[in-house]
Amino acid sequence: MDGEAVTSFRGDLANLPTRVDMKSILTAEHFAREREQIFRRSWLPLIHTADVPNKGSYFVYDLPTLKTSLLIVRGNDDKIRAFHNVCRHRGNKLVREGTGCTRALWCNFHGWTFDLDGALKLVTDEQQFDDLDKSKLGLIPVTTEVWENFVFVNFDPDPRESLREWLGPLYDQYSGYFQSHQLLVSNRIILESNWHLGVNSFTEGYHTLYLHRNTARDYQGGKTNPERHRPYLELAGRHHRFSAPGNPDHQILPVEGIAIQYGRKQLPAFDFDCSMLPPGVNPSRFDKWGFDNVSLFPNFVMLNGNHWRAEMWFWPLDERRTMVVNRAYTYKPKNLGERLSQAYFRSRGRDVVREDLNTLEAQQAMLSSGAMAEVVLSRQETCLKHHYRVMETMLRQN
Amino acid sequence: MTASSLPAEFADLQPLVAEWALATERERAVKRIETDIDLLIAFHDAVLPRIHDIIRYFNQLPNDPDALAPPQKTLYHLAEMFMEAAAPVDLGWSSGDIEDTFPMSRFEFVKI
Repeated sequence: MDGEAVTSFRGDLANLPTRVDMKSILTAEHFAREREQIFRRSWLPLIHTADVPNKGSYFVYDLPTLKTSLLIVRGNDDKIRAFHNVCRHRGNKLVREGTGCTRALWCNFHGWTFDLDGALKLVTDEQQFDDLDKSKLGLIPVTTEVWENFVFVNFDPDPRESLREWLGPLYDQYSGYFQSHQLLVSNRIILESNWHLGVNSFTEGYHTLYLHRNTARDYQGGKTNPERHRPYLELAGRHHRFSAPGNPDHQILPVEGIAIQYGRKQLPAFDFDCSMLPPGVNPSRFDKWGFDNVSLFPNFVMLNGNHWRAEMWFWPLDERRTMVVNRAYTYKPKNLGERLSQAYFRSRGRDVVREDLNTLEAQQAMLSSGAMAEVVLSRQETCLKHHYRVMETMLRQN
Repeated sequence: MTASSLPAEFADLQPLVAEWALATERERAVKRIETDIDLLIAFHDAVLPRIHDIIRYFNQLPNDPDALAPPQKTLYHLAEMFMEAAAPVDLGWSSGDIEDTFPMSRFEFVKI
């Protein structure tokens, strides 16, 4: 077809499914297997190192998917550790919620006190306990590793792969990128939808022509790529990423022009100059680049742009409900005018995300009706095919 | 919020303050969504001729919204509201929100 851009595919493209049996995947039985064989065995990014900035900083992360709460703490040795957020005495939730900075962690029930490295330091009226070995009653650790700015955990007590192995080729390609942004906004949404549908919706660009026609009508593609084919799509181990095509013919709206004048281009206009970005961002160095979509299996999706990024987590509560965590980052503003510029793009981005979220409950309702079993996937939805292939592989492993 | 005064050089915008100088992202987002397009356009048109002056004014101040004096803070929120209200006006929507999108009320702004 005239004007049709060609996607450069990378990675293992063999045996990708073109249809996926969602009827089976949306069941409670299927999710029970996913919880144990996928979520309990995967490296899961949770927060940024900047979320626990100082020695003694802690962050409570409730993780309903694995029916627990984690306490993530930066120790006096600057090492970041994650623990189950439970007092070893009688199981009280040690820190109820939120963030803070402390010299030690103590339980408000009986005052048991733990060091920042998890060691049990003080037991109130200790002599009244028989056979108490404090060295065996430290906080229960969860395997934790840091990659770039991200704190990852793995609930497998003996992970089968290191985080470096898990991330594979992505590991060395993002040096410095995440440090160049700061958190602008974070929000959370509880969806009546299965978590896969969330991941799927945010890992293809096929929908952008139609779903976003009212909020970002000309932000991708343009005259030379009217169907908005992804210029680059890579299956990288269990993960995947693609580049979204910016639109060189994008019409800048009046206030958007003001926001650009006093700040930098962010979605829906894109700064095509990526010469300062590390090799993992716009990996093919596509000249009309909009942003990258990077999905770390199983449930984390990043949109990586020039001067901005977004992060989405899809945490299943059960087979039909999902907690979405959404964070937006931008370049560090050097004046208040840049902050006002960012306020414009934050609003535009929110409208796009709201459209993305808006199909998920309707899909859930109809797919769980049983009326149809299989969904049908195009080459522009290759990341979805890969997601389900990886899912099947992990579910088959012992 | 109370109708706080603006810095003297922006006193002409004072009639907009009580309704539009909203302090939080959620308030501004909801205000845009729930306001008729004619009123959004009127607000937009009232601020547009002054927005360059507003931004240049802020660029002379320290880069910290929390350090602004109350009249400056009010003006800053008004400018944030201008940015929030821009899309429906510039994109030619018939209301402050598009039809059939995910409800703003279900966003929980949290530190996570």
